[in-house]
Amino acid sequence: MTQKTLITVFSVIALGIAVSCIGFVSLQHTTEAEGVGMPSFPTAIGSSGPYILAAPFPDVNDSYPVYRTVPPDTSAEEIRRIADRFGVSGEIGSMPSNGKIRLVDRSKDPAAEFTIYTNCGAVYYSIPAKVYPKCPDKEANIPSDDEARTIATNRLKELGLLPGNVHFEDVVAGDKMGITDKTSRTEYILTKYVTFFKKIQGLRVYGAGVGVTINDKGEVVRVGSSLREYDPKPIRYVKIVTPEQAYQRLNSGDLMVQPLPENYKKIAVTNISLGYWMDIPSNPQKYIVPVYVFSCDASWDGNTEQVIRYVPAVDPSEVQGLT
Amino acid sequence: MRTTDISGYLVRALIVLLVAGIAVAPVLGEEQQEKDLSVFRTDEGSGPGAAAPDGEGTAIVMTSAGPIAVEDLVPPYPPGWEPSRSPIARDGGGLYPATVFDPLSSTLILYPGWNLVSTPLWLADGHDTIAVFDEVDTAGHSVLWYNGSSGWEAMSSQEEFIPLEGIWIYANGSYQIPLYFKPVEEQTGATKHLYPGWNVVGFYGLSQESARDTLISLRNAWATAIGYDAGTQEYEVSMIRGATGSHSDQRLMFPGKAYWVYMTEEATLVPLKATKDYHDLDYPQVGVEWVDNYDFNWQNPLSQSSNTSRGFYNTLVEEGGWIPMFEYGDHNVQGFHFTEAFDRQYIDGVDVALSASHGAPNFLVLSGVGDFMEFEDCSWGDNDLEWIFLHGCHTTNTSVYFKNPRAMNGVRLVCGFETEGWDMNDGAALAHELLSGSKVVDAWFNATEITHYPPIRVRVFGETLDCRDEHIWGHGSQLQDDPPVDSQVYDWIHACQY
Repeated sequence: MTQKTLITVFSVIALGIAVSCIGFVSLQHTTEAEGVGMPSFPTAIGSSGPYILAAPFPDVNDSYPVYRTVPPDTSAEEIRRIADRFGVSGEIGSMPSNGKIRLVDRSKDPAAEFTIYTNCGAVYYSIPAKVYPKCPDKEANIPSDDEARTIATNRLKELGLLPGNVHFEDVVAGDKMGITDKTSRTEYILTKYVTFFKKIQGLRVYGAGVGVTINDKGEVVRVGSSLREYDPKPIRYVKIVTPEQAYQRLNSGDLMVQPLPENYKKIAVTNISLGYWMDIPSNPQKYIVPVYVFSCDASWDGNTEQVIRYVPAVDPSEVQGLT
Repeated sequence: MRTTDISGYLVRALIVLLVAGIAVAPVLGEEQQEKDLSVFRTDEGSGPGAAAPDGEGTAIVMTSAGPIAVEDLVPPYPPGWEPSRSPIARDGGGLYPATVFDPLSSTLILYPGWNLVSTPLWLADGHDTIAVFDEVDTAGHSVLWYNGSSGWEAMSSQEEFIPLEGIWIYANGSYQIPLYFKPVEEQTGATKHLYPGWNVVGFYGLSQESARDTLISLRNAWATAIGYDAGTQEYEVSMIRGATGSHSDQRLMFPGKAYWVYMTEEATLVPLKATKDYHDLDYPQVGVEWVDNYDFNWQNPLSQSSNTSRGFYNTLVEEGGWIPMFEYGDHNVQGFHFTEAFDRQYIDGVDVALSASHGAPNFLVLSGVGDFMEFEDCSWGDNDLEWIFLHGCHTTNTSVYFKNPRAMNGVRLVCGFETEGWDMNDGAALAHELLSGSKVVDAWFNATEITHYPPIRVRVFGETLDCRDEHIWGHGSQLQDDPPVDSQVYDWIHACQY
């Protein structure tokens, strides 16, 4: 191969690389300008990770009490007794997954259901035919937030699910239905959802709570409590990590629940607090332990949504050997 | 800002590269696929005749004659006839078999000597028996059929000639046999029960497919498939499940041909193409894809995508009797499984599908670096898909990605998360809800509500308002007709509750 040929070959390769780089930059400009939303790598903030700290670290104690959960009484008599409080009777049937027991009361029209999780005592009442409306009823009016709160509070008091350490949290749209075409969107609120939270020794419980769903006729169509029973006498106090250490854990992905997002450009931590963790009803849980809660505003492509990250506040070694 | 002209060329160049990548992806992908043959595998046998088809040990099956390498399995020949040459083609032979079906004229082509053929579709009344071969001079040989449980049987002219059944016929010369198919609307599903050992399977459909896709419903029960080249009168190179190279299960099977398939256990073959819309109720099919592990270090690995997918898949299959079509995980999940060009062999080849991974409003995140599957490249429902669950963050956050241009192209419901979702195992619960008669939307809401709570919201896109009332096949009602596809989309949002 002659020297001229070699020079030509290398020139072509170099030109190709240069043009590719220019084209790649141009391509990125195009996708951004057209809002295609091609994924980009999350912004790394310093060496600590993608979460931007926009809230002070809270003052916390060195140690907090740990509580033992109490298995519920799942005898048929007890289940019937609780179901009866909700006005539900019927055959008891077990569900094949998640350790649920369910009663369906077909004497009602439409039928009502009562479900209890046998490993934690979480209870749910619902009217399946009404709990997820298909479309708005033009004859009905969805209650205002205040009306919904009153309806929910009264119902929970009747059911004995509103003790002194359970507090009102919020009223949100429970279910919505929308119609979208090329130029417009119409949205209807189908149900209101009223939430309540529990406190243990002044710390809020996360991961579980109490909720009431009210439809557009003001009917209570669902009541749920995922709170676990626990022995109010602490097993003992355990040392917790500092808020700064928890922030490091957050950035390293050491979370109670792993999220599935891919598109956040920025996540700003707007509040940090300490609470107690109750796991989802289908998971077994022996102890109620402290958890750090990072409330965040996550944003992408002009959108922002609130996300919450739960970070273990206690090292596993702290709860090993508890009896 | 628009790009300059030069970048336009580059975009086209990138597209060419992308297309090229897609073209080779199936081949590259097989390098990494699981090699979980249910047969034995040894690390010895690197010598001639026992070479591992994939270079990772020899696949062994137990036969009545003792253990034998899958590669060395030799299917039976018609009684009384032995080939003059090697009993089985080795590397380099039989890879390009003679064509036996002309789709333009719908004719079977018979070559002098023995032929192993099948009908690719159901034949019209009056043209659906072995009598279609009456003009063939068989030199006194019977038309033969192989019963997987009992062996060879001679066929009379009055016996049916039906899809998935392969027949051996001797031709004392070359022939072209015209086939008259039933109209499309009368083409029904076809299945064939296969027994341990050798079985003969006809190829269903008018377009070629890989052995892996053709036999996918047999899961791990098949070990090898071998065609017969009537042009050379010898067996072709075997296609071994999970193998690469010349024995790859990515090699193609062709219309009009039939194949020997060696089974290690009983199973029912349900061709992917056999059930499109006509027999959804008889042969409802499910497929799942999941990603737990990512190649990039900034991406948190997941632990429950596989459990959610397998729980969903296995529950529908084992408790609901659904036909299991595919379960791909991690690097075996490929973008082309979802996108328009090839989706009918994957996502759009089943009635219900579930995908679990990291997600975003306009794409799913696959395992490889920069490996994203964008919804705008999809066209679901123009083949078979009715319902799909996208278990990833924000997957149903923005409807425009499903209607512009046409990800929803016949699919009735797309279920996902409006907000972020969590790495939770809720697939089995979802399947149980569906099998217990819950509407598809209600099942999604109920299942995710067990594992998620405020402020998480799930959302379902529906093609029409009435899609909201649909149940899966066999467990409630569906729309009478396919919903019209237009620019409008209905959606239902549910705030997960305590």
